[in-house]
Amino acid sequence: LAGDDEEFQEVLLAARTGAPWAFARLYGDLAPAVAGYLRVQQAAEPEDLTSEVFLGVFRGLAAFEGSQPQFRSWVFTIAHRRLQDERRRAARRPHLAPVDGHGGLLGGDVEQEALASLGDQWVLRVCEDLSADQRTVLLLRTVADLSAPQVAAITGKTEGAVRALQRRALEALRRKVTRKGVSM
Amino acid sequence: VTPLGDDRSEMHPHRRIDDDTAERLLAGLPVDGDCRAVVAVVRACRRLGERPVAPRGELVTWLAAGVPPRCTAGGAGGAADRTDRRGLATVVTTTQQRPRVALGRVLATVAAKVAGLSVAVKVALGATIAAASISTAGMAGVLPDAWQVRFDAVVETVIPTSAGPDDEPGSGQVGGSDDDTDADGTGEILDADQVGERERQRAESPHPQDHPAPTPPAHLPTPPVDESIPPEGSDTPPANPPQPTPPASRP
Repeated sequence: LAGDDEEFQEVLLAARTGAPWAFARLYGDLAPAVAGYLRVQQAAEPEDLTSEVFLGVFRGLAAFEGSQPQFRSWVFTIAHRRLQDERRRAARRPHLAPVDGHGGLLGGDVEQEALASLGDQWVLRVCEDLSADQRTVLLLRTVADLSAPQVAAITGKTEGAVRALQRRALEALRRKVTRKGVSM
Repeated sequence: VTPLGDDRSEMHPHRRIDDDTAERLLAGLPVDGDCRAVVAVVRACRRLGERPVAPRGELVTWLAAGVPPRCTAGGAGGAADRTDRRGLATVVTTTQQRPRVALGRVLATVAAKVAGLSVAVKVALGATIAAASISTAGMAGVLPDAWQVRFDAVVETVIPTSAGPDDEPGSGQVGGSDDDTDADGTGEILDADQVGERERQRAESPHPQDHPAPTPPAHLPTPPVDESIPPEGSDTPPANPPQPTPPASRP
């Protein structure tokens, strides 16, 4: 579906009629990004929540009209709302998010060390010091590959606020990964 | 003892990241200086969204068999579906969208459904549509002459419609004509007794030859001869004038 909106419209039309191959196409195209977003946002069950998100997407397809970027933004809007719902439910009970230690130290050639330490746990560690808004903006810009206006629409913030948040998030990341001796 | 924040390493020795640099970082483009480390984080974040994830629960059925999606108000994303997302997806509810559904969209939907069928089902569907079309045209009598003759022959073979000897007009066959109840041609539906009464009235009319009494169908029971009615020309009043008979349903 990359870059071909005409093809996307055909897939979307087939999905509206209930064609399973079209569902599989849409799911395969966006589910990894949705799951990655939910995983770094520390959803309790990212895979289950991803399936719930796509069930909602498929049920609402009859009412959707728009291009491929709009569809992508719509999917992540649903994912973001579902995540917020889950957090509201989880707020009533103690939440523990144990993260296994990666055991490494950042320092020296930070880029090489970071590239060598890629993985979910590493990203979780890096992003855990960010504020919730900063992390949301950063992940929607990177994992979901959305533009600043799209992120603003999803989060209900202005575009200027999104740009400020992403600047602060990147500066916080820079401080963290360039600080010597920080245990990861 | 130096309080937190006074340590030189805890201050911000780096220059601030501007919007252009942030956009380059988020796009994964190369940047200068100490921001290179952030590029690694951004790339790691992007890789998180490239790992396939297996569907679970009800979604497995959807992906395997397909289920026709229905627009559910609040079902897909709850409030998110109805929220104005400032230029993002235009999402409306079914009740708002239904009047706008154009014929072209319906046809496109049907075409997409047909396109999703297998070849065998497509052939069967086409044969069914062709047979139904020919049958309809044949019943309407608008087929070409040669085809219409063949169609009539087939229909005649399957459903014999030629009139037999018992079906001739006036033969009294049940179901042959509506005249058995429409004796006077007025279109009024009469039962057998009423038909007999009308005949008697016609017989008593001043010019019975002007109103020939129709012969009742043979299948109808002959009205009983009412001996209370005097013959024509008789001045003798009937000994027992006919009394109205109450309906049988009434006691």
